[in-house]
Amino acid sequence: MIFGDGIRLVSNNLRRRKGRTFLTALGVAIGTASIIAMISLAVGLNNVATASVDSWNDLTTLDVYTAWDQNTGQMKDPLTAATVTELQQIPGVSGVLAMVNYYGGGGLTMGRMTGWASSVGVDLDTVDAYPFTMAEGRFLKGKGEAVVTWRVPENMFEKKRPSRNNQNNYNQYTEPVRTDMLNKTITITAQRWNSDTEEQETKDYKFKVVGVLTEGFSQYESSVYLPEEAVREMRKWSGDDNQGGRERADTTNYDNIKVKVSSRDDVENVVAGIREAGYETWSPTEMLEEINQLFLIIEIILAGIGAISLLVASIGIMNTMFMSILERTREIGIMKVLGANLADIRRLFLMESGFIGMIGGVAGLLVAWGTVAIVNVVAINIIPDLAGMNITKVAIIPLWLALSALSFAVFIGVVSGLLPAQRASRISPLQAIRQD
Amino acid sequence: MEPIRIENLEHTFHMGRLDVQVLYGVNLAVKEGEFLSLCGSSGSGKTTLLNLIGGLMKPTGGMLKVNGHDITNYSENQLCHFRRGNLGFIFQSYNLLPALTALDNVALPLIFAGVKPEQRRERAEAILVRVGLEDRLHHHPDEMSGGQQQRVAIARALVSHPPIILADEPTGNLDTANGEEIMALMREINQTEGKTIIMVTHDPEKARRCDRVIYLRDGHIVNEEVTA
Repeated sequence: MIFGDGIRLVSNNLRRRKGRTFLTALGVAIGTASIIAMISLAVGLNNVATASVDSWNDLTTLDVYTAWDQNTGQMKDPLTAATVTELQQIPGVSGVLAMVNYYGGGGLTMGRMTGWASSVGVDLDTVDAYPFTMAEGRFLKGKGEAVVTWRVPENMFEKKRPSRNNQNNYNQYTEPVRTDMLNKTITITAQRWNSDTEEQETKDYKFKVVGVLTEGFSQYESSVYLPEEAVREMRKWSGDDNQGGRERADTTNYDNIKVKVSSRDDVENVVAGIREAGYETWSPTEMLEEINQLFLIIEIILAGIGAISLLVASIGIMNTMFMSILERTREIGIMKVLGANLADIRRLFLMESGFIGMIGGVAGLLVAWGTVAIVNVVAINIIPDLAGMNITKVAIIPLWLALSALSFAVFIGVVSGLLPAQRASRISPLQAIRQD
Repeated sequence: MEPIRIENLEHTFHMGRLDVQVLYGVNLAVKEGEFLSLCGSSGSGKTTLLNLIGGLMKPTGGMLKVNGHDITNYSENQLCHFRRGNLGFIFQSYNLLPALTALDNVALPLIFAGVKPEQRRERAEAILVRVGLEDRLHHHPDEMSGGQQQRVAIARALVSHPPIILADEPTGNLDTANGEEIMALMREINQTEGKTIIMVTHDPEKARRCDRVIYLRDGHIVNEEVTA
């Protein structure tokens, strides 16, 4: 029997019993719609979470730290110049930036403007290989130069002149204004406590701002990048190397290292490479992976719940097919007399039950699409923050979900028809055609 | 050549603890192109014999050879395949599918034989024209008289060009006039196309319109009459 002929015979039979076909397919439609709707919500929320992580993290920048040795209870190898070389050789790494931080005060002034930024010293030999993205100017190349992050110019305050009503300098600063700092001279003030004189001492270090980093470099970082030697000098002067009574064993160590990965796909390998080298790192992609795994579990659970309703629908299909066999026993007998073999009969009934599954699957998919569209419209109107993250949907039906659900519905239909088809094929043609 | 050869054929119905033998050592040879009638009263075994020849049942004893096939021990699937192309069936109650038109009913055996739609349509139309139903192609069985439905059944039996036609009381549900038409049609088919036809009937008068009559009683062949 040609497949097309089977389709024609089957659709003919289903059309003859429209009401029963509709009711049986309805069960499948409800099951399919519920599976698709629930999983689409999980997929959409996964996207929302991913977009949220994406919005506040640069996923291709990794921070490298000294690892903790659990056996000895001590920190492992410190971050040194050798570490930089080691990290640069990891495949997928496009740049390494070694940094030392100044912790002893660090007030920043520019003329009458004052602000605050942490001072970060960078190894000038490595800056060329690190892909900085500048909003203005260039990255620093030599002594006496500085580069600020995007936030620094936005948080500069102007000192008010004292007035008759403000002699005590109460509320002496203006609201912050974005200040043009390019090619201007800034002063970083280091501080230290002189235990002999019991007085606070300060020392000014002047730098010329040669560049401003883009907003996305580090959204929450308010820093000024300086030559490494300058920061080490500031640390040494202010006793930073003896901070809190602890002496740093080696003043050539780095406090942290940033690694830039060439693409998001390489992040996992680079993280593995950093850990293999004996250091520790954290990547937002690990959080993303955990988020994805969590949502995968949620999707599986929701699919399981939806599958229960499809299981109920499959019982309905089986019942309908058994009833159909009873009604069409004579017809089955005639077909066998006319030359239909056991496989032909089985195939016809499996196609019929599969067709019911497909009709229900398509209907369920359409219902799910409509439901998801409504949910998205309602959600976007109720949760305005989503627009800020460029999210327009909280429920998404990806192509794989639509095709999988449809295929599963057909599969359920076919499987439900197995027993009835087997029963039909065993009908005796002679007994069948003798039935009234 | 003998398209049908039966040797010592027996059949017993097993109904739970009860065994009922309905055929006892039947021997029969049917010539090619013969129009044979099996005649007897109810319970004589004539329909059982026809069903065994048609492969609708398996004999419990003896040998049965049809169109060169020893179908005595064929499986159900083998019998299904055997029926395609070897046998055509005509039943007392027509056994047409009510949801299909005359054209589709006639084409049904060709669907199971895997014939392509265009060829199927041509052959079914030609056969229906042959039996005088050119204006009933797209009618359903409930839109036709008994005689017309039986003509459709005859057309369906012929569409696969089987060499052997088996007819079980083909005029049993028809009035006299229609019955006569059907008998005439079957005779014409036998004479013009050389089909071997075996017809079961309880009516001796109709039986004698065939070439030979085999009389059965209580599962035995009791008489044989050559009428042609």
